[in-house]
Amino acid sequence: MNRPVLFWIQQFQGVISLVLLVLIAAALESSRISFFQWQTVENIAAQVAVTGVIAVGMTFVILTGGIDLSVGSMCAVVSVLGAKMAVAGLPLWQIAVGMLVAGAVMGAINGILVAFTPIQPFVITLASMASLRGAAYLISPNNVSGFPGLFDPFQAKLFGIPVQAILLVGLVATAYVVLRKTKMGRYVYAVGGSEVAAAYSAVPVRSTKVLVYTISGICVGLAAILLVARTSNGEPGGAIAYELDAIAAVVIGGASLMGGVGSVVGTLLGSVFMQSLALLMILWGIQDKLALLLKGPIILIAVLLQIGRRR
Amino acid sequence: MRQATFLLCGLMSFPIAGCGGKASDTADSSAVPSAEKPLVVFSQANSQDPWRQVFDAEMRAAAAANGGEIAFEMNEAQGNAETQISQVEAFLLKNPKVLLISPHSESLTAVCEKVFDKGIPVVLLDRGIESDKYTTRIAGDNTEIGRQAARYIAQKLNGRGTVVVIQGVQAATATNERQQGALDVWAKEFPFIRVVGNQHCDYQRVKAHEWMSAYLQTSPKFDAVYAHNDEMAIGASMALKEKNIGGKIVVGVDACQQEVIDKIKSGELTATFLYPHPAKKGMEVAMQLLRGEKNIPKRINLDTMLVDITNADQFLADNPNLAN
Repeated sequence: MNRPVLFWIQQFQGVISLVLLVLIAAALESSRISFFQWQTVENIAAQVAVTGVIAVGMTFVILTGGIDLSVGSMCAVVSVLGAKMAVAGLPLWQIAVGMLVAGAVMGAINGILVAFTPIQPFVITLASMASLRGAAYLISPNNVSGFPGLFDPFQAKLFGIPVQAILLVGLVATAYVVLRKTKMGRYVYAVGGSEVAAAYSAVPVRSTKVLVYTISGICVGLAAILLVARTSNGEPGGAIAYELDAIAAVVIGGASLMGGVGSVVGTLLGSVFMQSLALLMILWGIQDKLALLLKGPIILIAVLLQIGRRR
Repeated sequence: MRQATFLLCGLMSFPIAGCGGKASDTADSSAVPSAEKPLVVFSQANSQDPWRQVFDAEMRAAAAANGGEIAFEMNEAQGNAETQISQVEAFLLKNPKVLLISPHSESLTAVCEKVFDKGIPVVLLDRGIESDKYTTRIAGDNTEIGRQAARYIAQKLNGRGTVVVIQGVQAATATNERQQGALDVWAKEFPFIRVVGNQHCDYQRVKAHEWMSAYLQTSPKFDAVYAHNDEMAIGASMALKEKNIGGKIVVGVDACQQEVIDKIKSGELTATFLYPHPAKKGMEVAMQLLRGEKNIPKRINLDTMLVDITNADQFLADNPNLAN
């Protein structure tokens, strides 16, 4: 295989399963069940945003060989905080900045614990997952609502494209440039490739780790803004198991949980794949419990396709 | 190379298939719909607790009964607001004629408004939304249930006695209403009924069991237990049974489980008040809407019903879809 094609495939690993899905959708296209319409694009674009944004942050963490299980709980904390700020009457931009900062702080704490203690990231973020869910309920035991329309700018459309989708694509593009073109990006891949080798090559391993968890936190902050916009409330019990959707998107996108391999574009495609799958299941009228059951093997097959590609 | 070729074919087929789909869509849409059955969709917030499992079963039964006239699809959101929003949006792509929805919370307000604005009737089952943009809301009346339960307990005690109340999730609407209805009745009609214990057990059997076990260690004196749902009534009755304490009146709410009726028959529970399932009425209203009926009231209250030893067998016979 010639080099450019190989390189292209490596860049966009998530594409293979997505193409398969689209092919299947095309085969089953009918007048009653139409996947190929603009409405579908709008739907998926709006629906993929929250978990897609979280998955971009997760990609950074996974590239270093880490994992962040706390993102769902963190998203709930930030949503409730944001909703409380909204009820208190703050302007939207202040709320948005506050939510991003809240996410960054919580992510940084995760990162510091990962970088400076011998405890594994899985355990650290498992602990934050539990504590942050408790924190969300302590901040508010009930859903926080009562600010209709305040977050509408994050629900609007620009030239017919949902703003959430534009933000997601913008985030992916930024993350792509950071990972591929900057020193920091090389550090992230280096830490994930081999921590020991990275340390010998004067890569600042600890600060890189703090940084990736902070980035994950900021992404959670952005995702929480989009979630509050979508639901017009802050829900302490919300965003349950979003960490699993994010991790699934990252691995379908071709990343290795061992670290060092993967790309944000792959993650974006992985997220779109997951959301398209969910939508298709409903369009085809597959019973919801059966759809849930099928999700597992489909994820495994999708990941298998990626691994075959990597060899 | 083989893989690359495959990939390219796949990519190229995307726009082609896309156009093909579009073309056939527009060609068919004028001819087909009249022949097809109208689609009624149902979006359920979650199917985890026994009450909602019976709700789902009754909805399926009601849909099957009307299967000759309608196509029916339902989806469950596993208690996640965002998932439910996405599912309703996905349903919209299928051009439903009626949306039946039991919303997870007020989070569903915007998407219900969107559906309603498209001219599709929105029938809310159980919980409401923060908007007037819906066709009707069908639900039980929790305040009335609280009143009836309170009256029943007071009458059993001949108007004089002490009650322990086990409440549901703090600040939830159902909890507040089931509590307020009962307190109002005792305050106004039965001056000699006193509430001596009060605890939130989140509608969970395990929590009520634990709390009642601990509470009984303080050797409290009380005559009756009013639990905001049957699961907690069962939890409390288990604690009483373990301590060999008999003769207490234990009343729950929901009447959706076989187990509850069995315990009423065995005397472990005294009574329960039906929290009615909106499924059957919801489907009835959906059929009316499809026939073009306009005079649907904005709020439809479903009646509760006392189930105790006198009518337990009859209740079982009348309700074949109870949860286990």
